[in-house]
Amino acid sequence: MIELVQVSKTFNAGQPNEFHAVREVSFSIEPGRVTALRGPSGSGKTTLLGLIGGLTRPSSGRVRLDGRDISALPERFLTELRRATFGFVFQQFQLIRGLSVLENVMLPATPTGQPYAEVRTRALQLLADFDLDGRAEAKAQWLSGGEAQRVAIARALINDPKVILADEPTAHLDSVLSRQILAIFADLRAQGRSVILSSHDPLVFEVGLVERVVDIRDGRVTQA
Amino acid sequence: MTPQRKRRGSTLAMWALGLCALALLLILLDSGRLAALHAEALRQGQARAMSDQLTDPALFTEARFARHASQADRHAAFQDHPMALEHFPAGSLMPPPDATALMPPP
Amino acid sequence: MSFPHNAWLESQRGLIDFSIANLGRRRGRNLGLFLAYTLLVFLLASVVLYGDALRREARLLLADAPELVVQRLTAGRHDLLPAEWLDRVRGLRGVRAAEGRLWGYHYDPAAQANYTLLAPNDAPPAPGQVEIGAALARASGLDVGDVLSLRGFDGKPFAFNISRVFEAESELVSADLMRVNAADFRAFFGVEPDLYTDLALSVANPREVRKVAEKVLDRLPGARVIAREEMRRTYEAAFNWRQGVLLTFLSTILLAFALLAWDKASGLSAEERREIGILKALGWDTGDVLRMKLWEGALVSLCAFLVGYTLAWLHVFYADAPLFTAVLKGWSVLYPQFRLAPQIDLAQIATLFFLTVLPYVAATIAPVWRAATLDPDEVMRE
Repeated sequence: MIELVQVSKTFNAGQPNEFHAVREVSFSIEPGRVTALRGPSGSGKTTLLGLIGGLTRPSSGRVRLDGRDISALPERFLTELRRATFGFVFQQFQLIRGLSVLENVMLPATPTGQPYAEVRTRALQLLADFDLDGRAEAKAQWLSGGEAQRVAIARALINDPKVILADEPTAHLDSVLSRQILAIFADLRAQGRSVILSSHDPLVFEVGLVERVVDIRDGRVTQA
Repeated sequence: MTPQRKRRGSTLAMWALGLCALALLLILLDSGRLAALHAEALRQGQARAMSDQLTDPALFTEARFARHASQADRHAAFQDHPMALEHFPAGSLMPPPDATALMPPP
Repeated sequence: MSFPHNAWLESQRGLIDFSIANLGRRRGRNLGLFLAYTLLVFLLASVVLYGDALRREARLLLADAPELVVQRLTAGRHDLLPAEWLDRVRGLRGVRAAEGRLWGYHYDPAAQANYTLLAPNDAPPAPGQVEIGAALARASGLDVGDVLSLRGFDGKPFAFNISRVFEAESELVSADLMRVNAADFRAFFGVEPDLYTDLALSVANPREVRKVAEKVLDRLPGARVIAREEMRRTYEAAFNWRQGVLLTFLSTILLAFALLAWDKASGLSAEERREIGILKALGWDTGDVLRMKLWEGALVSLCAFLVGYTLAWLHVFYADAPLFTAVLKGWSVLYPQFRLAPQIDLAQIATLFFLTVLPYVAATIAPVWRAATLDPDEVMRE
């Protein structure tokens, strides 16, 4: 269970280009559900996603994970927690060029020090689940949009996280591919994981995937 | 069907490092053998130096002073060649002029 | 068969995997960097190894040089001294033996080289005969049985029969040497019978050398007394200076190289920043990112150091340092051929290691430092 209590995030505080991305947002997210943050570009959904997943700390307010305050944790502990709990899928996929698909998927597991063979097996299994095992040795920059998105999701799953966070997952995909990706999220939900995504794509809300919508505008929650 | 297992980068690195270290270790270990080979030459050189009461090695023999270091005053310029610049340190950094270029044409 | 799994080791291996992959992405540039660095280590190590070995050799060869050399100074310049000086110092307490030495230089225009002529007291050659050093033989193209003709002090030609060429093993001290009979020496140089070039004194007790030197100065006002240690130090100073010039030159290249590497790396490209952000977002903390970069720098420089040093060792002790002899020979007509003996100096290796590896590693990590500590949320924003 994730709780946000009066969370705000301000960039460039005190400077002329001060920007309030998130203003006093409070809500809770129940585990095991698909939650969507809905709002136009610039509404602060991406920042909010980052705050939920511990990618950034709030300027004020608290973020709690299962009752534990994570906003004040030192970096090392926060990172460890994040690795074990959250899996991120970025809007631009953000794969490392020059590395193979397999290497990309295994990347989040490197600091955990698990045996290489085990991680590799798990990665190959994930790729097989997404019909990508034939592309395991392909370089990341050779992939199509749909393939890259699936690799990004596989990468997010390598540490077997409870929560998947996806920022605008359908932004660079056509309708067919979008439906494929959303089906994958449905599978993840069926596995018992929590899925939190941000989007302003109407398709995301049409397919019966989303169980709860949080509307955001100008950094504030308008409907939770 | 698992794809062909590619070698890990770290394996390559460790092998490379290991081989380099091994190579260095081997030649360092060989130094004992080389030194032993050299001992005879050293002995002969020492015998010659002692018998003739020589005081310095025959390096830089074109220097007026260097063949017998007894000539080298601290204030003397380091002359490397009869035609070299008699100035320190420029004399050792600039090569002496080509003597044939300064000779009058036949 | 499988050994106990260590999480820390495994994670470091994973980081190294990434470092190597990173290096491989710009293969040409990194290979060039590696080669340049190896070359630099090679040159630095070669200079140090060669200089140290040469100095060691000289010291060993001349360990038994006469303890004191007495010379006469006239108007501040070295002059021939009278034979009666020998009598004056012979009786001094502490002087075990005293001998008059006859030696001098002769410039041969034909070979454009300086020869050292010596009339030894120990086993002198017969009159008319000369024993020459190997380099002299090479430069003049003469051998045993040939005649070496030189112009004496009065311009008249002097013919020497070459009775012997010195052994190659002693070339470092005998390369330019001409051993002649004392009478021939005096005739060739026009040195009166009652004059010597200088005196060689041997002192029994090494601790008394200074005292004996003082006594000699008392007995022989206007003399210059040189101790073996002083000669050694002067020669070493010349050595050190030459080596120092070379090292300074190379060190400036090293510095320039380090600065260049720093400069190239200090502007992290947008791509590199993005990737560090991704790594952090995926669950690598600051330490992991920095360690990965550390491995990258350390592996390259470590390999470069090992290879460079090994090549330098081979260059100096197995190949007889062709690079240096080529340079040194350029100014020297009679260059002795000699081998140097290796000696392992751990302090020297360590110093070279720190001078080469540390700056490179620092130059690799420093630019990444700031980016590695930033929050990964930048990756989330476009």
